[in-house]
Amino acid sequence: MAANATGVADSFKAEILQAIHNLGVTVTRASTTADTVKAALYVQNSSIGPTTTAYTATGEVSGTNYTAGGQTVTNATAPTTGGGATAYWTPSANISWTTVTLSTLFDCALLYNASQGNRAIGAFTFGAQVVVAGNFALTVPANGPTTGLIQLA
Amino acid sequence: MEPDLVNTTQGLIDRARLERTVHCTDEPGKLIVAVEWRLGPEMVRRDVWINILRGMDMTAAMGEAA
Repeated sequence: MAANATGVADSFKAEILQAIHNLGVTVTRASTTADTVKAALYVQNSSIGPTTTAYTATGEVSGTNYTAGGQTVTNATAPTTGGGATAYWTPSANISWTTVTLSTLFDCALLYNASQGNRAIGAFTFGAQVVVAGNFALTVPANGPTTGLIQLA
Repeated sequence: MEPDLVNTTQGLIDRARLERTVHCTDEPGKLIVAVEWRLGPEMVRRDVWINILRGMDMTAAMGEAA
């Protein structure tokens, strides 16, 4: 027998990631196209993390063939839900820099929304690296409810 | 046969002259692969791939991966 149940709508989770709902009083969106997401790299001990609210140039790496502000992330796949109640989103291509030299140890990438005041999306840390006249890539996971880069369960 | 050239800090160098080492590092939710190219004692190129094996759960505690 069917029964009613309490719970946040699964569809709502993906729709949050698509800015369909605005429960506040300040409407800041007019565009109906997907926002531009960018990724920037940060040197060790830059204090980038979950409390970071927006992109900052402070602590950002610098070097040959690295442009301040980082790289635009390919975003061709809209957030969706699956695997039960999880909403998820993943860039549709790896994030990479070609023939860069980044001589200062760096250990963090910040994803941020360049279309919305550079507001932060998330920070990813990894073992500190340098790159010498080479390539650097963040290879994104499969886009799925348990693997997607951003998941809202 | 033409040499296989690699772009380095010293320009294009025949791959046969370079010593290559590959480093794999396991981290929770990530696999890091770094390739170092040396000409004698000098590192003339280093490439890095950060393979993100799982994403972040927005409902997880601060700083936790999914």
